[in-house]
Amino acid sequence: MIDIDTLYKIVDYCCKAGASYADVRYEDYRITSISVARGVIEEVSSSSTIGIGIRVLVNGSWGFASTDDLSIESLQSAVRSAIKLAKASRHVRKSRVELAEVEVVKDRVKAHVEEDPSTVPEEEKAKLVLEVDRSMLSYDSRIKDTRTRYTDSSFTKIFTSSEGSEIVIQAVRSYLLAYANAVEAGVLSPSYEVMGGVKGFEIFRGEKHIKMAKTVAERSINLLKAPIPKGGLSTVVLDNRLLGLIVHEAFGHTAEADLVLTGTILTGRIGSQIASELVTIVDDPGPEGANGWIPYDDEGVKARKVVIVERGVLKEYMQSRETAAILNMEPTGNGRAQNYSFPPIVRMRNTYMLGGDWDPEELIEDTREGFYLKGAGGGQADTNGEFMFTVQEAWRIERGELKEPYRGVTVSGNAIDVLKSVDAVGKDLKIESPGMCGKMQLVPVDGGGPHIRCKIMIGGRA
Amino acid sequence: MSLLNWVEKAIEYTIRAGADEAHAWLGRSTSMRVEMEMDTISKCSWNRRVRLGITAIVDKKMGSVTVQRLTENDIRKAAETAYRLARVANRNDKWLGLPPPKPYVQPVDIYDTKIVELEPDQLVEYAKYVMDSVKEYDKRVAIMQGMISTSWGESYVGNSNGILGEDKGTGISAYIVTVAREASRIGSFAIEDMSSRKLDVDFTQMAREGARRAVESLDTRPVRSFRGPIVFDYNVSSHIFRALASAYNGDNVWRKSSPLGDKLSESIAVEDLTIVDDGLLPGGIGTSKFDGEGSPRRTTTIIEKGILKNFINNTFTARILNMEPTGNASSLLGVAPSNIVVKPGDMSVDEILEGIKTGLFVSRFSGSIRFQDGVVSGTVKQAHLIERGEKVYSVGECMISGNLYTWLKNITGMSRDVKRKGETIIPIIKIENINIISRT
Repeated sequence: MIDIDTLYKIVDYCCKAGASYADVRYEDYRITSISVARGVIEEVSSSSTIGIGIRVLVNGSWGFASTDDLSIESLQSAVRSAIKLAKASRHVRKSRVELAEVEVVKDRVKAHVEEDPSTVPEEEKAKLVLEVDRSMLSYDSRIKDTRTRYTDSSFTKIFTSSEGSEIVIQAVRSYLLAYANAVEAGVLSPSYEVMGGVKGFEIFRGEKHIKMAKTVAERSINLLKAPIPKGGLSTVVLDNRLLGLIVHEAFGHTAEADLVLTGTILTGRIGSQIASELVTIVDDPGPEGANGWIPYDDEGVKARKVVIVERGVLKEYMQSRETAAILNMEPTGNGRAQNYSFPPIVRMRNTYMLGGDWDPEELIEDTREGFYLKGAGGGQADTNGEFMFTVQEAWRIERGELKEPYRGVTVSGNAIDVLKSVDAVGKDLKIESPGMCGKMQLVPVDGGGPHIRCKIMIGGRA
Repeated sequence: MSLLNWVEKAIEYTIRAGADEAHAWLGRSTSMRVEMEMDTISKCSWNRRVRLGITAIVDKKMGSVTVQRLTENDIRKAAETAYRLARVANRNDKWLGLPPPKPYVQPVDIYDTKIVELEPDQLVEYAKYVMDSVKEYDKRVAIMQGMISTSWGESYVGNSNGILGEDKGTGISAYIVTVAREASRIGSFAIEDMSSRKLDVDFTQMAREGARRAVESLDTRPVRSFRGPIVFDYNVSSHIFRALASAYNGDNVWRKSSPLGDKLSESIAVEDLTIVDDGLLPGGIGTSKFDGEGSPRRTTTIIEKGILKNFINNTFTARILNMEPTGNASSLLGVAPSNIVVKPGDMSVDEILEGIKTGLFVSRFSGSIRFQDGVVSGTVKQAHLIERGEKVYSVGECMISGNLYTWLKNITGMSRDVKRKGETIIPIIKIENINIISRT
């Protein structure tokens, strides 16, 4: 590990070279992963990624450089590159970058972990992954392909700045993905689930991962003979994960201040009723164990909970120091970078809808006609709130009862329309959708919510 | 010590640690990028990275380690760890050994010293030029986001069978997300991108195309549900052929995830469709001297006149499928396309539109094309209604659904002009009989 004095020397070097502000981030990631396919451990791998990112502000323009060569010569060369880039863009910028003031912090934070994966022998990890994969493979002979991937990563991040902040964060992430594909009569039926977060190996000590494998295999088989539904606007009950995806992708991004500044469906609407009164949405840095846990962001700002929507009213946006200064608002600790080789931008952490007062079963019992939609797949959303996502599993609801399943289902619409149509919110809040969010850079996030009922456009056959 | 020597050292240490076979690769790259937001430059970055990867194979078990520090001690430790991890894995009975050395062909037009020598000021000037060009086309259009980036680097590969190779390349890529505004109206976003291995990119064309498409989506009208032909512009055509590439990927074939597994020598598409995976395409984004396992890149005909001729393979999947490796290893076990080259048709775009009574011309599609069963489902983000052979107006969002493998048999038009979109080189295509579902 690098010593903090070296980081301060780089900060000093930046300032002497003309920077009015500089921050230097050292990051060290150690990753172990195990890949199993069709019951065979195909590869066990480990990797280390260590490097330094240097961000400078020169005459109101940003410059950034990163290197994984930690020699003094290389670091000085990186500083010169950052300064050069900042100076090059100075005359093209429309306005000077200003940074909202924040408290100077000196802190060390270590995330709570019960069982550090680095203390668990690789053989034991391999056995676990194999068990998950083989339990899917043996579920039904129609399951032809299974893949299971285990990853744990431990990391240390050190942030130093010319303002005097000095923050050390250490944590561990664990992650497991299970995928199965059933085949029958030319129909293929893929399915997957994930579990994990800022947690240690303790999450694999129970039976949760085996249950997850069974869910994946069961769904894959159930959907083999399922038809594709007729498309159209429908009353739907969304499960925690699908709601989490919509809240994050279709709504959350539109409340990121950098995008708000470029124009999203939420631009200029603070204080407006934009959703049903039953809807409260937060972006939270804190739930212990959630995949998007951060005590401080990558600008050294103490991360706080952002109440984006409260009882349907738009309350605030997620901010970096730069956007907060432009909008004359407070930084929220949402400035995040993929790793040391990227400058921070506004990103979500753990974004979810708060629970209401319905039992999830009641939501279905109370629905005369519609669909119960479970699990999230891929898709795309625009900053005008328009989205389209694939759904892993759909069940038709008739007079309060679940009937037959459907496959190949997509949902689409506008996030605001969907949130306005929410007429019932479950009490079963779950934040269990660990994943990586890509907005130029990949960062770990989490999300979810309770079961809810709303109206949404279902895609399928015409 | 040269970087190739580190690869040799890594192989030597891995064998010395006890491995039956050893594979190593090393990559060193530098990149520079300028990002744009709301018609101004937001960030400028420079990155340098080095990675060395080692794979040890012990009794058909595989362990890998990736490190950054290139010292004798670090590499020896990495080799020993790779050996230890390999012993944890299962015996992969399908593994029949690392590839043997074969002669390489030096690809052309993949390295341009002008990119390496490009100064930050010049990259910033390009970004400024793109922003100015968009405004010049139409003042109502803004660049919401964009980026221009350059990269250059060297790659090295070796294995205990005697493979030893080195290669170098450069690249420049750019994209813009544009949106048009007029009074209270906001159009749908347009995304335009381009990439090249040489400093020969046409920023003007990217800027004008991005601006034109943003303006077109300012005034849209709803479209009714119907079943009919769709003409897919280059971006969507690229999406379709990328999805198809997963179906002829040998890794998905042997794992039985692809419905094309038993279709070799069968007709799977119209006679006009010929697709080549060309790892040596001059100036191709996916062009290189060797693939991820060190096998030489080559040219492989995948579909010829509608007949499925081949899958893309690495040595591992080729041996399982009893085929030849095609230089498509993304890793020792993984397979990926190089350049997907779709043979152009003989029609102009006007000729493709001719004869369409009612249809859509789709420029942006947001959705999924699932290669496993061919299910296509998603939203058309930007499109024109075609009536009596002409684009009549822009339409609002609608949904389309269908099946990729049915579509391949319903292609009735391909443009003679092709465009490079990342690693695809594709024409505009017309496909009949697609479900278009109104959202109003």
